[in-house]
Amino acid sequence: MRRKLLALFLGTALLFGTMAGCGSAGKDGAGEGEVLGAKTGAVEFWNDKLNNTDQEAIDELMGSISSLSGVDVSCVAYPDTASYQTALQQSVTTADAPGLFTWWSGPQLMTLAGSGNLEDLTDIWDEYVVPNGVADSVKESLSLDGKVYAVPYSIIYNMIIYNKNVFADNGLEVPTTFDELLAVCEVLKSKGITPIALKNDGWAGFIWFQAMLAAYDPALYQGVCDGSIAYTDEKVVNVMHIWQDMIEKGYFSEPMQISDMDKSLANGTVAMMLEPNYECKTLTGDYGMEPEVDMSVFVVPPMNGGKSIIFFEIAPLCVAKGSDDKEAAKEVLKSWYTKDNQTVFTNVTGFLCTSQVVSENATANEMVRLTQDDSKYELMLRYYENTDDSIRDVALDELMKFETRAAGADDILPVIQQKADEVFGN
Amino acid sequence: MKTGKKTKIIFNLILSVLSLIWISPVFFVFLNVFKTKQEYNLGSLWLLPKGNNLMANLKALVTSRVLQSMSVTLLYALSGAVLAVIIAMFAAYGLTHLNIRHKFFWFIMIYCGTVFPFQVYLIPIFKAYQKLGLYNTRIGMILFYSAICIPYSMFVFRNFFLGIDKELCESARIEGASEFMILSRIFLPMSAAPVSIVFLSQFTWCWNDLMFGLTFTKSAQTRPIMASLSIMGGGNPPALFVACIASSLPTLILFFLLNDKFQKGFAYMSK
Amino acid sequence: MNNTASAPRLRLDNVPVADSHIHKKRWTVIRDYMYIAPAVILVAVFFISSILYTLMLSFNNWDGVNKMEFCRIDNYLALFGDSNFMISVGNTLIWVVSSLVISVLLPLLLAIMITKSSFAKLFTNFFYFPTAISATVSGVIMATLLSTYGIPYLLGQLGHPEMVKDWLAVPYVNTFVMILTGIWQGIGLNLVLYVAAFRNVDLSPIEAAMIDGVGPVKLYTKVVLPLIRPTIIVILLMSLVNSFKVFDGIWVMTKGGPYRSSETLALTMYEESFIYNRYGRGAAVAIVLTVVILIVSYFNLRNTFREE
Repeated sequence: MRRKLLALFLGTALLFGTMAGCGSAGKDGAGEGEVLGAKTGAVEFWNDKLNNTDQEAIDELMGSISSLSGVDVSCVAYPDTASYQTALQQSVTTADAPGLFTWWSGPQLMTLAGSGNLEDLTDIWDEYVVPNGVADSVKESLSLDGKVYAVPYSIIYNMIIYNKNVFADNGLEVPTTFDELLAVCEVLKSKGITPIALKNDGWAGFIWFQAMLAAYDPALYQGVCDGSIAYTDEKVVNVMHIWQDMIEKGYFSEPMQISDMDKSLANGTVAMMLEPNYECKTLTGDYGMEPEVDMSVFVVPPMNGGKSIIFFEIAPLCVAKGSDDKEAAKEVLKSWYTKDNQTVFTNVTGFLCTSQVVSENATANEMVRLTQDDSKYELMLRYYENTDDSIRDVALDELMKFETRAAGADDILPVIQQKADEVFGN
Repeated sequence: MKTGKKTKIIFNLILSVLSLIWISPVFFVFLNVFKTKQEYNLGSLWLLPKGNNLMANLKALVTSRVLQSMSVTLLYALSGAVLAVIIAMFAAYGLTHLNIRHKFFWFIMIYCGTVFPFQVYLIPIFKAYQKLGLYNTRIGMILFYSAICIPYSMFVFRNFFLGIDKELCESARIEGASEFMILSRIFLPMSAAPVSIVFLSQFTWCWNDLMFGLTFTKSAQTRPIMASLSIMGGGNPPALFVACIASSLPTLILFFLLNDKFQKGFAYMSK
Repeated sequence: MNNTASAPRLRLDNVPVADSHIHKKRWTVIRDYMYIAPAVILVAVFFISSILYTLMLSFNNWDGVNKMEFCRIDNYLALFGDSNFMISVGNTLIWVVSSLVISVLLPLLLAIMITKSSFAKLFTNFFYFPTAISATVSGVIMATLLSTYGIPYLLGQLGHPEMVKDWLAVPYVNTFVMILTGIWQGIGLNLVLYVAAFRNVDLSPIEAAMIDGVGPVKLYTKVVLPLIRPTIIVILLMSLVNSFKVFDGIWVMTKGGPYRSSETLALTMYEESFIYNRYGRGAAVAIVLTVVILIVSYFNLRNTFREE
């Protein structure tokens, strides 16, 4: 027995030896980057966006930006929200903060900007971002007190992606009025096809809510967001009843996972879904839908004439003010929006940020083309970032109850309004 | 204990049916590792694969960081579990057979470590690690994993040691044995089953941890396997399934290696 | 120490006798505490300090970046006025009750059968298999199996079209579906503990009872189970603690949705802290959860210490 014990202790001693060795090995590893950086600068790019991306694609993306900017950019991915929030929030005030990192727009970005931990990027915005073809109109949602604190990692547009074959087989045309959309749904329903897929995700309840409000009257949507119109307003109730009516007629699926939505759209059991442009890449790459042959897009048509509203969202890319790598990070941003880098970026992520680049996916390009046609369409910031977050959190839960048929319009609107009263102090 | 033949047959039958149910999800996984991404996404999940795409899926595994992070995870899980077993065993011995006052208090103090919701550890430990330079180091990870494995291990050992007769210790003490000798030469040999179970479960826990591994490290050299695995996400399910199987192999192998030990009784029980 | 490793009896006659009694006594006391010191210190440094930090956090408002603001017990008051928190408490209780009944009893029954079956090792392997894979991995597998095109699709083919939907998206049904997957994954370790306990049990009282002609049910409830009581206590308490804290599987499969209907306390804590960045509120949930588990554990454990 004693021999065994001795072996155990030797093992432990060995282990500590390895640990010590490893500790220094770990530091050597980090040191290598610094040696490289001494000549050209190095910067870490923290994000929670590159999950579900092949390692090869990530390496390609980092290779592209590194060679263009002359700064060694390394990707640190966080596939878990708690880990990301902890690591970033607790280090952003220190010199160890990452040079570059992605964050969430709306209140979360404003909190960080307000705390004084973000670098002012106004100069970069004017000199390197807008001239490279990023729409200046999105600046507002990235600014605080007139200063730009982030650049767009991605700009995403939401539209209805539909299965072209299903439409053709049933003799359906793209609807240009809301009544036509209802007629399309009715035909599909009678043929046993689910017209529209709903998404099952904690935050996804607002997607059709904002679309319905804006289709009724864009001003109604803005009013609800800024608190000037109550959720219990007659018009809002009216819109919600139109929506409820559609749900009761079976125009919407029960909420489902995104992978099931994609699969259902591809196999034609579902005809439409209101999704962002990057989903086109997935639909083509993973589900075999040929762009503009098997699928295309249109914007939810208005109920009472006028312009159709396209909703957008932005993921901000920030520079930590206290980071040792701040200057290197700003150097990287100067090359971030160049055509070369954005071409690689679009191919890897499916996001389109600048007008200089076209996607390999024709349907994704079609989406961007529609956003530029301002005679018919108007861009608006989506509900999620456009309203107070504590009202939003209540609304998302209530809207999900509505979508799962657990509650009706008249049940949920007063609940949301109660929160709105609290926040807006009526 | 004797068992009737009939009972034995019935038990065998029930267990066979149940164990088939238990491993059926694994069949599902194996059915789908041979498929390509599109075949998986478009076809029925329950159809036999058309071709054999296993090699390509294996290649995806090699290019991802999953294999690279296996060795560092092995270091974390092995050291974490070994240190925890040793430390917990001393503590359990102290709490059962030594003269320590307020044993219940000390027991609860160690046991606390399993009671708190694990997410509350993230922020304070991250802050402390950053100040002490333990952030993104292997030593930091090993220390954390050993610490988090101690409470459960101590609990199992304590309840096992309670079953060992006190007279056994007394007689050894009268013969002049030191406490360390009693622990190492009487208790340890009797504890093959609990030691192997605790070691296995804590090794598995460390191996499978995602949240802490992700938070306390950032570089490819220090990040454990589950971090790499979850970055793969659902983008390519067949490749992900292959990675899942590969990443579960070490814990399974360890289980098969230790399996005999679980079944082992100890001979000293009745002095 | 000489080399007597292979000797069956201990030979320790060469241990020196201490000169001073008092000196020896003091040393013995310190030495005894040295046995528990490493464990106590590590747990205190890592975990007790963390919970104290959390306790402090629960009396403050904090967004994670800016300065904390002291707010007395507002976070606790807000919790008890929040209907979501109450739903979360309800769901946690469902998890606790079902895992107490199932994760403690099912492996016990299986272990009894396994020790009496012909292929003990093989069966143990099968049941342990899902335990070896991580919650992340099994969550991915299970989420796929339970989605519209997994098991529901199979049932649809078998003539139950009403079953074809994403089971995890059906409020309240999903909690029970997830409890089942939790059992699928979780009983392996408890089973192995039971099997080991049965193998290590002192056989003489059992043999005596059998000679007395005690029936099989009574034999187990009156003789065998009391003998493995220490193991049962470990399993009972750990199942209790883990079911109170259940998080991983739910987070991977439903994220507490739809509309927070499948949320448990650990998820509420996580969401308040890391999704909504209301760290004070999240900390308050954590403290409530901790206090409840500690109270439940205290009453369960106190008895075992009294008996000593």
